[in-house]
Amino acid sequence: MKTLRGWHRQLFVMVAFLACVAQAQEGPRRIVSVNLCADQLLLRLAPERVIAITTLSRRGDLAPDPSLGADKPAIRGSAEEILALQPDLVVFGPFSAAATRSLLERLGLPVHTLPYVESLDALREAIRTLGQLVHEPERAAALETRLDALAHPFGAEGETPVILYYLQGGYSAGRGTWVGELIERSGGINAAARAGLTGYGDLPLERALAARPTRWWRTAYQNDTPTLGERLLAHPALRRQAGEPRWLPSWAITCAGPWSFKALERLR
Amino acid sequence: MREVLLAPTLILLVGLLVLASLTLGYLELSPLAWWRGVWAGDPLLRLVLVEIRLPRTLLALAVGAALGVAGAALQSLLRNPLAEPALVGATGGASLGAVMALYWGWASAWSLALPLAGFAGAALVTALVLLLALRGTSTVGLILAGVAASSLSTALVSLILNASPNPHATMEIVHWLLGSVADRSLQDVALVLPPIALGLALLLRQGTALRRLVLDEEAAASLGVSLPRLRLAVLVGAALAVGAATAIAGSIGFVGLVAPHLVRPLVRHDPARTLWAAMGAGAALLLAADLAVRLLNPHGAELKLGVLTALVGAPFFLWRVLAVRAP
Repeated sequence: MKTLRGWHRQLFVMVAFLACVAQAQEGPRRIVSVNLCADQLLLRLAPERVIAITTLSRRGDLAPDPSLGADKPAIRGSAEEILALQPDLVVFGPFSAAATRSLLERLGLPVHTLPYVESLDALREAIRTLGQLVHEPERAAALETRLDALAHPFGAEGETPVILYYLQGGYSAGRGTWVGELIERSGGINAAARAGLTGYGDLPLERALAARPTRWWRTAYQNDTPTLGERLLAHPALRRQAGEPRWLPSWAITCAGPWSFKALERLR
Repeated sequence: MREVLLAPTLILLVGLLVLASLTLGYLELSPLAWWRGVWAGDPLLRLVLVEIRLPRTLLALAVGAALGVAGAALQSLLRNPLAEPALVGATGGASLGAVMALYWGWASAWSLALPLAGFAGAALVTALVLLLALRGTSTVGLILAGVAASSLSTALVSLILNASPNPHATMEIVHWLLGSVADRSLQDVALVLPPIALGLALLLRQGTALRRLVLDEEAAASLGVSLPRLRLAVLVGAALAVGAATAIAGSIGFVGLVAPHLVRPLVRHDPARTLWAAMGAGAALLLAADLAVRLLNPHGAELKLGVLTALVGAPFFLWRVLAVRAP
């Protein structure tokens, strides 16, 4: 009797353990994403188990492939919407809705926050972590491989382009930015970093030109709505120094991912 | 200061400031190395000199002159020491006109739309304020009408920019409230220099009439001054000069107030010569302010011109208000 009880206990522990493993192997089954960049990564890592994405992923200018996840409901990301979906994982972006996030955490929902990605290494780390969280390490590894295949220098032999990323009003991206990483990984020199800009910010035209850019990039974001800052991009000095702009789609830099490098291929 | 020396002093001062404005910028070069490089024909340095620093300097010069003369003319016309382009609504109205032209796409369809809209906005709002102010000649009436008109135009500027789908537009509200001549092109200069010159010419020609107005309106009329014509000339001149200046540089306060006061004692309070002297003083003030915004924060975001002119102008304004109140 005594032994039987011991055997029983062992069996119970084993069954419980196996159940845990099975549950763990499946991972979260109802994933809700409330961030554009999280949408894009999750739709590539665990598309079957994502049950809602953000409305931004429907926009052709912001999402690399708006047809991806077109069958999923799109939400704006309020706590009520999220709770109604009864998710078992909610993925936030680095800067998104802190109030919503802490509310969901207090209610006991599993919450993950994507880190702020400003380098290729940080992106790899983010993909790996997310892959483990949704129990898709193979797909995460495949995504990383694809990233490596795309992230390589381009441009003519022996040429090191000095690339100025310049938007309305002189807004630019210097050291420690995803745009700067894209420029450097593709074999160029980031003119804004050379001009002393760290992070994102306004760069006076004079300092931008002093970095002697040989090309300049701009994005098509809202370029059809006129502003005062748009006039700066028509400044003749900019064209005299760096020629005509190359147009970068907004989705290439809004979220870090393999698609960013894919977009650069068009600029070759 | 001896009166004879005033004109040469102002010309020398403006000349030195122009030279400094062309010499100092964001390039990390000593002034000597900079001019040597330009002399040697470095294409980048020449590009910066001709396409960036020259337009910036010319605009500071023209905008400062426009504000100074318009301020002097308005102060004489209204015989009110507090009248200036911003206070009588010209600056606010011009901002509103320019914002409508820029953000509703008129300016990109037809480049002249920008200075024209600035002129129309300035003329409309100034006319409104002058009509209200001329009913009684009280200083309070003028200030109240001016404040109301300026607040209304500022609110409408913010409304239009807030409604723009472009997030950059919202950031540009600061420009329209505080002004800047940074990173303008020679095309911008070519666009606004003619209307500014036209406005200045019109205002400077009213010197004799404004001098006669010093006595009082009836005496001036008996000396052959047609008041309605004088008012119209000052209104159109100020609206042309300030409208074009504001359309490209945003609203810059206090220069039009301070410049005439600085020089008036030096020309024995002669309205006609105050106009000329205020032109030099306004240009010098704005050139100096524009140099300061470049030098004060060379590695961060550039300060706006209006911040500096307000730092100098606001205490001055308070002092004038107190002086006006004193018996």
